Amino acid sequence: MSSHISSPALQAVVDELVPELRAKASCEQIGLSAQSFSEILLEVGSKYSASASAGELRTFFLSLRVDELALARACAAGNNSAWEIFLTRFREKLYLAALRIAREDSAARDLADTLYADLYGISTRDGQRVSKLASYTGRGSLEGWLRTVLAQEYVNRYRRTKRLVSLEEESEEGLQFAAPEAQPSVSADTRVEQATDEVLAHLSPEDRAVLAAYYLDGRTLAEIARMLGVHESTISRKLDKLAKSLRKQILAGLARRGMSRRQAEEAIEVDVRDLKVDIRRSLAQDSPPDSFSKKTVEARVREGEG
Amino acid sequence: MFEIPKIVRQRLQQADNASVPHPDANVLTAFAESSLLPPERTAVLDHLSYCAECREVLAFTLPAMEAGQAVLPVPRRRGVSWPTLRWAFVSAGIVALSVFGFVEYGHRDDSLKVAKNSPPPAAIQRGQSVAAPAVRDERSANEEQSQPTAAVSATPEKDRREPPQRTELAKDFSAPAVHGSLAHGPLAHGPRQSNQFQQQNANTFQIPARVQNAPEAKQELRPPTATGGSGASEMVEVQSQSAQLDGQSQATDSVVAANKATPQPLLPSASDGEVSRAKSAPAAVAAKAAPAGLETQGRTLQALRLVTPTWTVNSGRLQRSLDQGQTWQDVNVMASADSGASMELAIATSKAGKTRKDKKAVSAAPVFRAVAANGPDVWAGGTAAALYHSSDAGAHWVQVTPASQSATLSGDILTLEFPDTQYGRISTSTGEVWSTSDNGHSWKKQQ
Repeated sequence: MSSHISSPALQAVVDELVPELRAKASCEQIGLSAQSFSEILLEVGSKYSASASAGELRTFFLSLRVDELALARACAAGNNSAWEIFLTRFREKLYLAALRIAREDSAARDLADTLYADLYGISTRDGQRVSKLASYTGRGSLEGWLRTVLAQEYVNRYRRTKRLVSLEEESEEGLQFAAPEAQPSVSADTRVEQATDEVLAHLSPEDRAVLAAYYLDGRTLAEIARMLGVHESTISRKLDKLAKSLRKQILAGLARRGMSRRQAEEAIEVDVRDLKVDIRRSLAQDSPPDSFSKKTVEARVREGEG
Repeated sequence: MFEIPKIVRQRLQQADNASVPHPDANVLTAFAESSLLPPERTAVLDHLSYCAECREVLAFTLPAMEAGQAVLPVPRRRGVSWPTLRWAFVSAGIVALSVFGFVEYGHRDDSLKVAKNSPPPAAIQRGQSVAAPAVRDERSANEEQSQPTAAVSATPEKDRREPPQRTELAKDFSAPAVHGSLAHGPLAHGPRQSNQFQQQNANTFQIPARVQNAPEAKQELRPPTATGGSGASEMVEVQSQSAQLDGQSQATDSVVAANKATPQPLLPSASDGEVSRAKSAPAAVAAKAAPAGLETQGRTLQALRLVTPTWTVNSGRLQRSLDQGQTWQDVNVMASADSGASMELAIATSKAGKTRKDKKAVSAAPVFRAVAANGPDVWAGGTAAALYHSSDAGAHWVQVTPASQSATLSGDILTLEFPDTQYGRISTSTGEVWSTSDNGHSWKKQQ
């Protein structure tokens, strides 16, 4: 840890803040010395940004959850009292989080156990025990970090095992994780693709993330809103605006690429019409009695006229 | 819902295969908890827009918040929901309407009462000997002129000398009959609540009269249609007929009319709808009676007996109002407690005296903190365990010292609660709570 090359500014800020942060983190309880604590801070700080100003670093350190950081690092160092505190505080929460992710008891236990193994550091590297808790930097809450680690583990595992799952099973329980099926390229004209890519590239990262989450992942507005920490109506308005402007901008891009207005509209309309046809066809399949009754009505009308 | 060109979807998907290293779990957590700085946040968002995996991880870290949000709607149910409110509005409307009708009825009734308030109690005494329980209301009294004569035939000429009073008394006597045969419904017109109580009084003093004078009539009246069977007189027939009439039409009127002649000195309140502060509905009447009554002590006492005053404590002084709080008089507890017989009023004039004058004697009185009244039964408490009780609306006061075998009430009395005349509760500044269940004769300290 001390191998990190720390800038003098970082060193100065850490030295200045250690007493304060150490009191906040209640290091004595979990047997964390001032020396190792400042080393941890230096490491975390250098990971954040090497070029940050002293003021930024101060803000950064003060926003850290140093108490949880100290706890996690003490656990990683093998302190027993720290582990006791950790287990009383997080054992139940960790299992509940696993259950929410896996949605099934045995899978949740399996997931939680795997994480515990990682946290204890059973997987040895060069004969040295490395706990996953050593990678916690206190940027978010420890509980949130544990959830994120669980989710990463689950997603990785799912992606690993997905190839072994039969198609049937996938359609039953893995629908939402299934990669969106590749759609055949509709447009042969690369100009349309280029124009679209250009428009998308000019979107803000947030807009693009919203589009991807909504159209690719099929998330609900509420889910996206929670992911981004904004109100649901904000996402709704954003999507509405995007859907309207995207078309306009692509058309403009196509015009710049030398496509006439009519051609450009056609290039886009092809897809839209496809979609509409699909809907109509699927509706017709779903409700054959409709057409039947229509026919009978028509027949009756004809009878009446006759 | 928000339709985008299909090409956009395609291109999004094409781009959605980020091979760049994923953000650290720490950073993702901080992102989910909205604790990243703007530049970092944008970087994460950029990655998210190309990385389905990280979007998925992020979505998985959220369900715990979902649980927190799911809790939110629960408190909403705790408040008053619209369906409840709707009924509250409906019932409020009904109450408002009935109060309006009640007030209107009261006005109409007032005019009648003014005309009929004349019969002195002596007349009632005489009336008890009258065996003419003819039933009628104002209208039927006018229409059926012949019936009184039929009734009179059974009574001495005394009644003929005072025909108006007799008629009224007759009505009074009819009340139980009407009441009996028409137990259902008549009150729906909204006679005053006090009527029920006074009706009972009417019943109590009437029944002996009936037993003396018309035992047969009673038997006849129980089945109102079976008239003239036994050796009953014509009068009885008339009675039952008119009883039926009343029953169908103006039962309420007769009931109210009956109340006017009751020997109870408590008059029904003149102006309904006025909300009195200290359960003193009759106080409105007193407002008329009191100014005159205060001229002499004897009449004041009479007024006090008629009226339930309103009590309050104003800057340590115990005050009484006979007109529902329009004017206030200081009440000197010590004076009446000492002398017992005389009652002193701090203010001689009540009508002109909107200004409050302190009487010298008041300064000697304890500083009051709380007062509780149930009709004429008044309790007042103040500093240094001063507790005074009056059972005659403040005319005479007795100092009470709550004590049990082991302890005596100490400290300042802060609150007094007497939900009824028997049960009371006192709390003091020393944290003691005393209670009585026999109108202050014995006290119990609560631990």
